Amino acid sequence: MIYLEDLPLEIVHAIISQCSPHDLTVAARVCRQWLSIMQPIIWEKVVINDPATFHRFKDGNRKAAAIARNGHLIRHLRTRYLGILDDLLVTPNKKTRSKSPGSSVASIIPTTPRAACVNLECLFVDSEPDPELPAVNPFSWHQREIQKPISPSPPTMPLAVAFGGQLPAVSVASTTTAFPTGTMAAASTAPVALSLGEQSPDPSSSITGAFQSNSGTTSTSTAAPIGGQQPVLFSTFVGASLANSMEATTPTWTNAPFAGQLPDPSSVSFGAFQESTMAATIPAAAPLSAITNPPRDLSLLRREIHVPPPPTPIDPTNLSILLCSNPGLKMLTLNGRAVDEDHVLSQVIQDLPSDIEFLSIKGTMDQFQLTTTDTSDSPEDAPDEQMNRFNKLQEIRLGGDKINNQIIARLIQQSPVVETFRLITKTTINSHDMASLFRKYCYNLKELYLDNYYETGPESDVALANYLSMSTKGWITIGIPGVPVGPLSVSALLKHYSTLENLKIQGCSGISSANIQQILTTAANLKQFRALTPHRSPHSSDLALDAEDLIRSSWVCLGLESFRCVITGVPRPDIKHKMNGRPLTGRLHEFSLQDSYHVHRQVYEQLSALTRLKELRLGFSIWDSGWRENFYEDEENEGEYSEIGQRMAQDDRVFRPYTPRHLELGRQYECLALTLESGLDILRTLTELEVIDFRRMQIGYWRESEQLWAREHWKKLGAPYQKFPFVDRDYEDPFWKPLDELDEMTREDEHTHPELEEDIMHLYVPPVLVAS
Amino acid sequence: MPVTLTSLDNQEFKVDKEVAERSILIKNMIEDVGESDAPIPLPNVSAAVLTKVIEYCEHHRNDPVQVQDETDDPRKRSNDIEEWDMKFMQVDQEMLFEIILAANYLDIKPLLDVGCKTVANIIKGKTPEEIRKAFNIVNDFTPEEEAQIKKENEWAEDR
Repeated sequence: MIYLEDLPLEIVHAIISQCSPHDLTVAARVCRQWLSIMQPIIWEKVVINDPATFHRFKDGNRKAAAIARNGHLIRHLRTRYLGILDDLLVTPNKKTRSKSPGSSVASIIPTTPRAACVNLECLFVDSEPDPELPAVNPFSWHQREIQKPISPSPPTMPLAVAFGGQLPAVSVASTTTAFPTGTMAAASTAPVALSLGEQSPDPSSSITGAFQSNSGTTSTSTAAPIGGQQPVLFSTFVGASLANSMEATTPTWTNAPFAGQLPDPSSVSFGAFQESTMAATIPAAAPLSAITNPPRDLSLLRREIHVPPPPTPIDPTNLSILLCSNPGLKMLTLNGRAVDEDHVLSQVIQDLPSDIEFLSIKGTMDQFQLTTTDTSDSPEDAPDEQMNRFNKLQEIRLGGDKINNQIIARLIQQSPVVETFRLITKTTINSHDMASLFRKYCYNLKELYLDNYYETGPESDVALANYLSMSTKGWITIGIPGVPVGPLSVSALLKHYSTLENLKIQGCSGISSANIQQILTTAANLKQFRALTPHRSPHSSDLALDAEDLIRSSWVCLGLESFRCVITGVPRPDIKHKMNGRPLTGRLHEFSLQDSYHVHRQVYEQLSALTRLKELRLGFSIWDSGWRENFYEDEENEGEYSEIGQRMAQDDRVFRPYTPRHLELGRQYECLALTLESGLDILRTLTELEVIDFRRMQIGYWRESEQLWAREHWKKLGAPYQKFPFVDRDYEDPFWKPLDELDEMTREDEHTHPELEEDIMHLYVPPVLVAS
Repeated sequence: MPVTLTSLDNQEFKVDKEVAERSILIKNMIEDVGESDAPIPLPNVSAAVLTKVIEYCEHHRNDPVQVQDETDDPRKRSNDIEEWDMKFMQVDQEMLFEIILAANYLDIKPLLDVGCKTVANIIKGKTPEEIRKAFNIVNDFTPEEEAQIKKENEWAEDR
């Protein structure tokens, strides 16, 4: 008889790779043989990124034993919660004889903790605090009949939901009878907040909800509603509507009457929401009905603000033990506040295993603070003898406000084979010294990425030029999206023309059309050129290649596979008006059609040489990134916004108004016409094309004749994104209404979405094609 | 042109070359040896199993060759088994494992895939006791041990 365990291991793996994680955990309980097969697969990759999994992982009396048994099986650990690391250590107990004479009693003392997992290859840790909330929806209480007792089982984690605001002077009796496991309480002369809570039915912690007055003199609560560091959820009322909910922690409750304190934006940090929403939380009068009749549809009304808990010093010991116990670690990613603390960062670098191949350390960044350039101390040019040498480390990513010269210097001095360096920071890095160190210690640098680097001015230009000069062999990849570029850095960039294969300069202000042409006429190895700027930031700007520059000299990047750049300056006498009906008066609209076609043909000739091109993006739609710059009002186009209604927010619970988009923004009128008359046929050489993007370009590509031509010559191109118009109704574009060519697929959708029928008739099918 | 295959128990099977070459092992052997009438020995496959394997290859003789990178990633694979294959795999468990082993030895990837999916389908959605029954396995855990394993693996259930 053959059994599963008799099959070769690769076949067993092929079988169980078809099973769900649940099936695997069930199969592990079949017999010892199966346990030995399943356990290594179950434990090979540990991913703990949500509170429910976190609690399940930590839960159980046998947790320590389980980790001790299975820890060595973990190869890949990924978690948002720093606290998980505590569980990966075991502290063996040691029996010792009592020193008392005559005593035979043995005492048990814990020894030094050691790592239970010693075979880690990949470790990814964020620094979020341990989640203490129950996995259930904390607002689910409102779905129950509020007068009915809350079931005492199963026990829940402590939780409080509080409604805040300047409530009218009322007295509301405690209703413990209505909430056997919770308390509803409000009283005193100036109530400002009411909390409702539920907690474990443990009688020793019976205070589950509490009211506190902001006067500080009267408080009906006899204890903080929540113990320890456990988060509290509360909501504040502004006027008659629930405006915000947020997480706070015990210190917020106990340090001062919470309702008086929490709405003060200066008392807590609200992360990215600070700017736009906190003004709304300042207490305003809340209706009495908020107390007596809490809104049932709470989840629809609330908006969440997650307030990080007050920072507590992070002890790097566990992380240190883990790093020292895993010499085979190849990939390490540490994110969040853990690496904001110098002593932790320093310890991590000290303990890095020597076989590490990929290192990413990214602390937090203040989104609203721009810093100055090159003011930090110069790094020491002397390798740290105590540190390992990282002879396999190929990629370093560093980010966060705490990254400094010393940290970078310590790393790069020990990392001779680093090929990729990514810096995500706005802090003060001494770029000159840093560049010197890179040139001295890292000979293989090939890829440079700078993110969130938005400084401007001459100093910034110098700094960027320094970064661009770090590679001695020449960069193969440069990615500096949104980085303001000055003359020095342009010059530094252009020096790498002979090695450059990938260049991402979208949004880089300071790069001219002539610069772009210079790159394309010198960088013979270029494979990717990306200069479209659909994702705006306050610091990005549009880049475009002017036809006048483009036709001046021949491109040499004939192996280019991806070209993303606006080509502008093309005479278009066939277009006399903008979308909004205003006249286009520039000289480019006054050429003769013959002259226009002459320019067109020269541009097509240049493009037609790119016979390996797979992606051609000449136009784009503006992404709704939330930046105001996407939607600025200018006087000329005032009032020309298209309201797109509402959309679901990311949490799928709240509808937010969709930001109005500007009809004209990003629209191209001096672009290639892409008609057969203009010479489109010259592009028949682009047989490898898989994707083209002509969005927001006023072109004739969508006429039947051009469509038929494209099908014949661009065979790798897929069908148009038929669904796209329904996602982005920005394409209600009457400009080319005569070109309205809805194909069968769109018409099918029309029938399945009758409510959109009217809109569809005016839709301009977006000129985006993708490979099928 | 027919090819002769000899099973473990010395039984000879004449099959079309096209059918035999569904097996990468046999295909490579034919290519290495060149045109020959000599039977190809398959010492790891019994006649009963080889009969089944040939039946499978006959049925799929015109199937396109699988693209390697699509089949290597389990996430890209479909758990659906074609109706004919499903019926073909309705054999006792001994034979099922024998077919899997033969498919592995003969390097017939589609047959191996179907075999693995069939075994996986037997495991899926069952309780430990049902799996034991399906695979004729004796439970050698105490109830406490089984509960302990359940507890320590609970975190992985919803991954």
